[in-house]
Amino acid sequence: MKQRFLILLLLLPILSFAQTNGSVKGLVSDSVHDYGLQSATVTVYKKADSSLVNYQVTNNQGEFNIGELPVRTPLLLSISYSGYNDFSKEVYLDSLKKDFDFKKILLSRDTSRQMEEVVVKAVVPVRMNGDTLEINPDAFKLDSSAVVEDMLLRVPGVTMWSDGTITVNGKKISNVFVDGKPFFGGNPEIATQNLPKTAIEKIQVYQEKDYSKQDISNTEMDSTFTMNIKMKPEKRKGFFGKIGAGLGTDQHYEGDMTMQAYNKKTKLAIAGNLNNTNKTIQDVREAIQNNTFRSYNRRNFGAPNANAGGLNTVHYFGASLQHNFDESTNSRFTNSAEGEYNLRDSRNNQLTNSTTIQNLTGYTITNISDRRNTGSSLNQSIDAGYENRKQATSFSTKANYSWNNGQSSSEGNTTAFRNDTVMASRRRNTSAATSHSSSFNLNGYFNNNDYDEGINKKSFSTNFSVSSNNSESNSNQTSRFESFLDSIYTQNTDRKYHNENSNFTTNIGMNYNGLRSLLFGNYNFWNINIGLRNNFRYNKSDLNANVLELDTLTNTYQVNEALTNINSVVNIEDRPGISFFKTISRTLSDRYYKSISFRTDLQNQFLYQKNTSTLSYRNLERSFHFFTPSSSVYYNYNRFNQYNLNIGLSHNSSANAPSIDQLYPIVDNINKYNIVVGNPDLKSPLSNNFNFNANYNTQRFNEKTTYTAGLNLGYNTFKNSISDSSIFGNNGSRTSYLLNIDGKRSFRGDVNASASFRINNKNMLQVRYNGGAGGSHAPQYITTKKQDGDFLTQLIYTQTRNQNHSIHVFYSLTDLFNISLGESINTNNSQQVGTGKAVLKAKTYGTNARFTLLVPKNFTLSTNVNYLNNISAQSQSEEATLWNAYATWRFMKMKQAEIKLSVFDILRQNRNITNFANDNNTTGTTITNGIQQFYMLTVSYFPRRFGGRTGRSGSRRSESGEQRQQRPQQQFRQQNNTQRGGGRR
Amino acid sequence: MKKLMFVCWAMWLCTNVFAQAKTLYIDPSKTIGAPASRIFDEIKFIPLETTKKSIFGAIRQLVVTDSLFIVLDGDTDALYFFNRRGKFLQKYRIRRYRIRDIQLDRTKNALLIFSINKNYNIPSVQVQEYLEPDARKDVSKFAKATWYYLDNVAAAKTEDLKNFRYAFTNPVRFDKNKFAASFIKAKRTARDTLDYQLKIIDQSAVLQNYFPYNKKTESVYYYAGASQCSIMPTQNDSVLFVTRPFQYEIYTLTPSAISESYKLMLPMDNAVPASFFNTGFSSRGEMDTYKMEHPSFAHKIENVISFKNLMFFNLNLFKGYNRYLYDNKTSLIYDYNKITSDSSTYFLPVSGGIKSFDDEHIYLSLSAKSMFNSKKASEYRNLQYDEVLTRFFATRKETDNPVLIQLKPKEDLTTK
Repeated sequence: MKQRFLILLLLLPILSFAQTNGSVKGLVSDSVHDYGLQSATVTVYKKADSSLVNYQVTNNQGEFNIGELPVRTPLLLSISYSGYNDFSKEVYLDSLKKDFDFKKILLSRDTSRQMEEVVVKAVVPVRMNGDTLEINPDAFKLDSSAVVEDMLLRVPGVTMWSDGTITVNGKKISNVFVDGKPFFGGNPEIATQNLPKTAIEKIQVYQEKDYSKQDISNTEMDSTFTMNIKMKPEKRKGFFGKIGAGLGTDQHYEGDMTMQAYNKKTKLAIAGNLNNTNKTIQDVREAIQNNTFRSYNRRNFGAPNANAGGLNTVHYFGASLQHNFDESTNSRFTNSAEGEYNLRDSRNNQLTNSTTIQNLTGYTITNISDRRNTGSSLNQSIDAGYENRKQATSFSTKANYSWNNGQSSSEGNTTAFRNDTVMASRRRNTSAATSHSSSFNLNGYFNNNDYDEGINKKSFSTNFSVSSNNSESNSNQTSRFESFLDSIYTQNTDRKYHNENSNFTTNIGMNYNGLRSLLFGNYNFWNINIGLRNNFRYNKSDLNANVLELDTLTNTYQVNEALTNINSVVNIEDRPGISFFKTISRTLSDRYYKSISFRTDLQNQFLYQKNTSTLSYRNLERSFHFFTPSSSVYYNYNRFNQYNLNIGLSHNSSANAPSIDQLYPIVDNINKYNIVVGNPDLKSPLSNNFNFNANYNTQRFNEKTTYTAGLNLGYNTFKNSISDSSIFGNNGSRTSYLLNIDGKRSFRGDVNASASFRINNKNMLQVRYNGGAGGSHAPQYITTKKQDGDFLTQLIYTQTRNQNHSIHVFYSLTDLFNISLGESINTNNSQQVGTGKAVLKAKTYGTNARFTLLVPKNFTLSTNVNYLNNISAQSQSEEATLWNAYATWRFMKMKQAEIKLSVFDILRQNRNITNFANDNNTTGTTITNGIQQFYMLTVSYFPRRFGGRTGRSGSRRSESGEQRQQRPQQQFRQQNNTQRGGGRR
Repeated sequence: MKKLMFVCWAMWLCTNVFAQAKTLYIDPSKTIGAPASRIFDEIKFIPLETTKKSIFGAIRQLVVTDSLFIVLDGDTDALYFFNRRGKFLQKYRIRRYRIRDIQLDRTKNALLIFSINKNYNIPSVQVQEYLEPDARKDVSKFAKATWYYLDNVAAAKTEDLKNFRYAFTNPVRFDKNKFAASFIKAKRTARDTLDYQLKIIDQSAVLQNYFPYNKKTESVYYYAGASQCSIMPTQNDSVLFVTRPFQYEIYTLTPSAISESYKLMLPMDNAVPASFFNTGFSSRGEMDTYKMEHPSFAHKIENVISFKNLMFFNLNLFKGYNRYLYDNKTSLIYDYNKITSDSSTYFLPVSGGIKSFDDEHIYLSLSAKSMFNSKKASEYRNLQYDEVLTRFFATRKETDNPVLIQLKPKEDLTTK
């Protein structure tokens, strides 16, 4: 695999292009008053197919000098400037005369009426209009079926990362809007891979405040970058979708149907999917993002989910409707309602094999288990929401009702070995269950900003949520436990559980941000903002459990008095606090901006807990309070047009009261390998969390390379953490007693770095590295029975360490091919400190490669290989190579039809393998069956129309006709902008 | 001589209060441009010295005296005094106060500094109360006016005006001891209805009122920080130019009268319609929304600077602004952004905002970064810079202080 990688790297430099070293220059001037026309657009086209070769905007003196032009090719130079007649002239450069000087080119004023149709061939691809970067689609000559993404791949400064992220001049785009509003759920691909380039007027990129933040502490870090795709006015309604069906070997099938329709105010999406190929469709958004028009998508949507456990069959139907009550295209304001319905019928068939190893003081216990699960469920849900955001107030509410019927059955065998050799015990269990549940959720917020005088006296925000769940389940569980080392411990259990649960939770939060003005009036208190906050939470859960147990003597089911109970628990939490916030910033125009923000929240947490139960030992009433402060410092340094650096350091603390099931659990001994016994003396654990992060990115306008780097460090400590004291029987059974132990801590560090190099207009290379390391230190007691019969109790510390590194290289030659290679390593260690036990290590190596060939035209060949090698704690190697291949052919004039041949898992090796290392000194490997080799032939059709029914439909109109139609409007706009651009303060 | 002619011209204007104002038709698409050498006679670059103490951000305001350049920098909230060759002399800050505006008071040979206390946010409703004739409160703690005597800059001798309430507004020194000031704010609950957009005051009392407005109903002035009249000094201490928000006339104010000198006619796309004044805005939010929806409407005329035949002015739009140069002789209107740099300016841009003017010159500034960027862009021309620029490029950095550009507008512009 590594060799392959090297070969490809060596190949890269060979993939350069024909000689382009000609140039043209000249001076564009007003014919009457003879002065240089600045910002006139000079564009060079290939004469043969009028494709854009290069362009330039004239400088302050009206001059231009365009290089990188092909020689021995007939070219057309065209100059346009608003209010003037166009100029165009043919140029032919050859090796003897590579540089041509036009000298002075006089443009004459256009004396005809302004609004008359003027054919202008040149437009500026990218320009800054004030704070907004504007991308003009008409400047990019592409195939008539091209979508927005095809264009973005060619825009200087825009990087489409191979993981789906979009950055513009190094800044990550957080939102992609269409006409100022999220487009069908807001996933960028739904807009960029569906909307045809020809339907777009322009794309704007700008910075805006994060309106979802409800707090007083808006800092530089809270602002986000938005990309807004502005549709041409006549294209602001249309529909697009996909209908596809596929049949495969081994009775595999899939069917897709999505349809999205939109107009200025309303968006409707309908989606359906039937498959038994492990495609997991949860909601409308996922269904439509799996079925975008662009034939090549970077994230490999729509392929079977190789990580899904078992074999799954899904029948899905969903619909969503979004309606804006006004036609405003301003993303700041909204007044909209939305609704969604989802129905999902799924069946799952799963085989799981797992091995876990646990280090005890004198020996190890290895559990080997296999398990077979079958299940089916029918889920339905209805969502409704309303949002209204105005200049000073915003209100949002969302409601959801869902209901679910499920059935499942499983059987499993577990065998426990002592020191890998001596069989200690065996358990066989079966379970059959049916359940139905329903839940209702309502949540929302209301914010009021009193921004009229900048004094915030009436500035507050509230949020609320109510949720109610009801569920009922019946299950029958049997267990046969055989102990080989301790013969008294053989046990058969056969129980019927009938549980009825109901749960009600409500949460109300309030923030008041005007305390400073209220206390000090006009005095601004050294610019320290003060906020008051309170969060109230009420929760009640009721459980009615009926447990019947088979009495082997009478062969009848008798009530199990220990487990049958009615329980009701009430938790009330209130968290009042006061917060202080201050920002100090320094600017030196054209040089730097720096700011540092401090924030501290002083909060107290009051908890009240009451439990009533038919089991008398579980009746209790308790209350607690904790002081849980949090603080943070953020630093931002922005060197203009060079780089941006953000550093943050934060601390927070929180406490949790032990739950009734930790204090007085109902001990169910059906699973001998894990019996939990509570502890009524448990204290509340208090955690302190520290986090440090740093981000760096270059910020050079129109630069060809972009670098970003980020670092994140986290450290948590726990006081009175709830750990356990486990007593292990000879046969591997385990009983845990919960208790408080200090000294638990964990850390986590992540580094990510990425670089993108645009070698020229078509060649792009991206490199990404993600790395992380984490670890924990957790104390616990272990009690084992020694050979002489005595019990030995020992305090041990489990140390876990895990690391993951991945490097990803992506190279694309637009329109020809792209290739990505990745290598990842994950390691997990677990070690007992103080017992001299050997370190348990598990490693996973992953290598993946993906290659997509896009020639000949309309034909896409793509293949990906994913090789995994898992080395478990016992040094056993588990390997699996998943190799898939796809061939896609697009046909019809607008490429609306597709035939696709897929081969999944050519090598018939797909399995899901995971390694883990837990705090309680356990490491293990789990292997689940996955879907294996099949061939499938899929036929799809993409119905699309953008623009009204009258006249020729947008998608069928030729590119040049499109441009001519739009010109006058555009010209006028451009002209306004030029003037405004210069005059911004 | 020129000064005298200007006074005569101003006097002529005053005596013709009822005379017809000159109407200028400004169509942004019909404006013309010119190379800098056709507009300006002399050009001089004055780099401002950069030391650890004198480094500042950008020139917000510039006052030019016979011997000094005084810079107000908004980034550092401080005044920087330089001599006419750009040598740094003195830095001045007022502790706890933010300097809002500086003016030259020739009668006292002092710089008049208006500043407000950083530790207080005084809402406009409160300011309106402080300006009521019967208000008693001493506002020196919140806003003040200070004379900084220029006889000996290094001595930093200052004197405060006692309880000058109009320091909250935009007062402009006028006719020896008077000020012209504007504070427009309407609210539904106002006690009375009549107020004036422009007031001539002395240190405590209102002497004259111009341009009445209805304090209860004119909703375009409801919101906080409503637009005020722009009051602009001229080369003559007793003549000011005045413009009003949402109106396109330029008035000339003299101690005795106010007269309309110019009237701008704008295309429909740029002029606020009559309906704007009847819209009934109820909050600043509504006003801001209207502005966002109509970014090309003109809001006010500002920065009017007049020379013999030429007049520079800005047309502020709801978003951004345009800058023009009007030639009285040929009646041609130049878009200032279309004035291109040429060899006379060493191809350094001269299209920035006008920071100051005197009898003969206008002053612009250019950041060191822009200087170096322009030099880089013109490298292929192999320019021979003058001594000052040669030294500047050889010894200074991109992060240095801005450079002042002194330009002398021509008396008669020629078009090709």
